[in-house]
Parts: sequence; structure tokens; C-alpha cells
Amino acid sequence: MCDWCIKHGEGKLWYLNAKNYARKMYRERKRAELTGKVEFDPLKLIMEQLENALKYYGTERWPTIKKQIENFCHAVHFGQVVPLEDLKAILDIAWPIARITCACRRMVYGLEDEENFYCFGIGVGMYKWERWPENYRGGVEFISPDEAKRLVEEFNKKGLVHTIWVFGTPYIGGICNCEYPVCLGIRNRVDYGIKILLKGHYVAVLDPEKCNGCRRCVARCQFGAIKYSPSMNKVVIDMKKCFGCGLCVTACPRGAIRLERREKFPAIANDW
Amino acid sequence: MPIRIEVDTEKCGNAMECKICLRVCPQRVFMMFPSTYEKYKLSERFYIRPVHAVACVLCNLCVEKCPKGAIRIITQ
Ligand code: SF4
Ligand code: SF4
Ligand code: SF4
Ligand code: SF4
Repeated sequence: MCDWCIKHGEGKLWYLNAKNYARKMYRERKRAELTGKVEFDPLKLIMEQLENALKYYGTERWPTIKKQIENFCHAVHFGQVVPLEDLKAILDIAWPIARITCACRRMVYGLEDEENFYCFGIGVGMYKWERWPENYRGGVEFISPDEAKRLVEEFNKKGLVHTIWVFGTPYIGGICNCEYPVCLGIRNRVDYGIKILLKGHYVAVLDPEKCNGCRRCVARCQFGAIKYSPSMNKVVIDMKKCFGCGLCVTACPRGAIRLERREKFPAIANDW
Repeated sequence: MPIRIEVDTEKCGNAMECKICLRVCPQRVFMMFPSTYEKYKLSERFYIRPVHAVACVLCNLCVEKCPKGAIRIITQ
């Protein structure tokens, strides 16, 4: 169990607990905003703090600065990797669901709005999207859970990692479909080790007998966890690097990879 | 080698109308931010920041391709 399951899961995976999407949480977030505890725009706030923090990367002060920025993220805005099946379960409990443009792809790739509908805003907060048009450049489109599931399947085929994001912990307000290096969650985690994006509750396990060395899984891994060995003509998965996104599983033509719960492996059970 | 990247936002103008540096940098060093952030309003201007400067490999593409000569790379 991760910290968020302990605090907000009520015996379930925290992101499958409907309370973390409920109106009450939204009200609490509003209250926090009013009392000045949480700024109105977590994203902008985090971006500024991250940029400032990165100036110290590689210096003596980095470990302290990194810890500070992580604490801040965990209180306000952080994400976790979820595999496709769990994401579909989320789409059954989160309501409403709206297609929105991806802020990272706009800021990093400069993608135009029309080609940038990669994310979902979820929860009743979305009904008030027009208050913050800059966050929702390109507008929003409310869709049914079935339509959302169809879209995430498409994103999965493309090779995008599914992540959920809190806006004022533990209110889950966003679902993204990400790739390195454009996703600032993945980039800050992989390049600088900042735990703004947490590993998921699963880990990929390979059955070497079944693997024929086709390497399809290697190209799907955004976290560099899969290596191909030419002399063995098989892959190996580094479970310490694996984020449990499941993209390699859905790509393997031989069914050689499966996802297992992280808890089963003591050395990585608490490695988020 | 410590690298400093400077973007002259005056010279750049409205980055939303160009975005060339975002597209050419192989290391995705740059990010584009809205200059204003207000309720009920879209930002009209955007500016560039070299957020991931530590990832720069000194290929110099950004300096060469920027149509306004707004990017400088300083190695110390
Ligand atoms: S996709 Fe499957 S069969 Fe192909 S290399 Fe990866 S694990 Fe082996
Ligand atoms: S090894 Fe597979 S499950 Fe793990 S991060 Fe890479 S693609 Fe995702
Ligand atoms: S010199 Fe090359 S790597 Fe460095 S910022 Fe410019 S385009 Fe990017
Ligand atoms: S290439 Fe130059 S002018 Fe164009 S957005 Fe970048 S800094 Fe501005």
C-alpha cells in the first residue's frame, strides 16, 4: 500500500475510492483556497517552484531542495501511474469526464489545440472550467465513460502512459496520457528523481521461456526499464525502474509479460 | 560544463506565434508560459524559459534557428 492508500484508500486502492472524486472533496479544496492554503492554480505554482528548484540541481543544496519540492507536490499536485484496467475502473466512478488539451504538450512541444486533446478533467470542478480559460485552452468536451474508455484504449495502443493527478490532495481532478520527455511528471521523475509522479501499484514480470526477443516491448517503455540482450535474444526487465504502466504487457505478442502487485516483492514493495 | 541559456523575451515577442525553439531543441530544454494568468481571460502573450538547461548538449540549433536572435548560450 502506498501512503495515499493508507490515508485515503479505506481498504481499497486510493484511486478506486469514490470519495476522492466526490463533491465534498471539491468543497474542501475550495475552502483551502479561500483560506489561502492552496493556491488557485496548482499547476502554475508547481511550475514556478520546479523551475526555481532545478537551478540547484547538481549542487550541494539539491537533496534539501528536492525534498522541499516533493513535500510541496505531495500536498498540492502529484500524479501516479495507473495501468489501463485500473484506469477503466476509475472512469466508471469519476464524474463528469471532460476531454481537455494537454498543458505539457502545449508548453513543451508547442502543440496546437486541435491536435492536443490528450487529457481528461474529472469531477464537478469541471463544470466551472470557463472561469480559468487559460487552463483549458481549446475548450472542453464532456464525454460519456464509454467514450472515455474507447479513447484511453486508443492512447494505450499509441504507447502513452496513463496517469492520475490530484489538485489539492487527495482530490483527483485529472487523467493524463503521457510520454517522455514532454510529460513534466515523467521528465522530472526520470531526469531529476523528483517524486512528483509516483510509481504505480504494479510491476512487470517477464516469463523468459515465452520471450522470442522481438523487442516490441522495449520501444513501449517510457521509463527505460527494458533491455534487450543480443546474445540471449531475450529481454530483461529492471523491476526497480519499472513504473507498472503495463504498456509492455499490451504490446507483447507472446503474452510473455504480466503485471503483478508491487507488494509481492519485498525489495520494491514500498518503492514509489 | 556549466551552461547558462538566456532568452531575450523582448526580442522574442509573442512566443505563441513562433515556437521554433520548442520544436528544434533535441533535448526539449525550452518551455513556453502564458504571460498573464487571470480569471475569465486567455493569455494573449507567451514567453520562453530554458527550464531544462541542464539537459542542453550545446548543439546550437536553437541559436541558429531562432528568427529573432533571441537565444544566447553562455558556457563558463
Ligand atoms: S514483446 Fe514479448 S516476446 Fe517480444 S521481446 Fe518483449 S517480452 Fe519478448
Ligand atoms: S517495464 Fe513495462 S510496465 Fe514497467 S514501466 Fe516499462 S512498459 Fe511500463
Ligand atoms: S543548444 Fe541544442 S540542446 Fe542546447 S538548448 Fe539549444 S537546441 Fe537545445
Ligand atoms: S525561436 Fe526565438 S523567437 Fe521563436 S519562440 Fe523561440 S525564442 Fe521566441
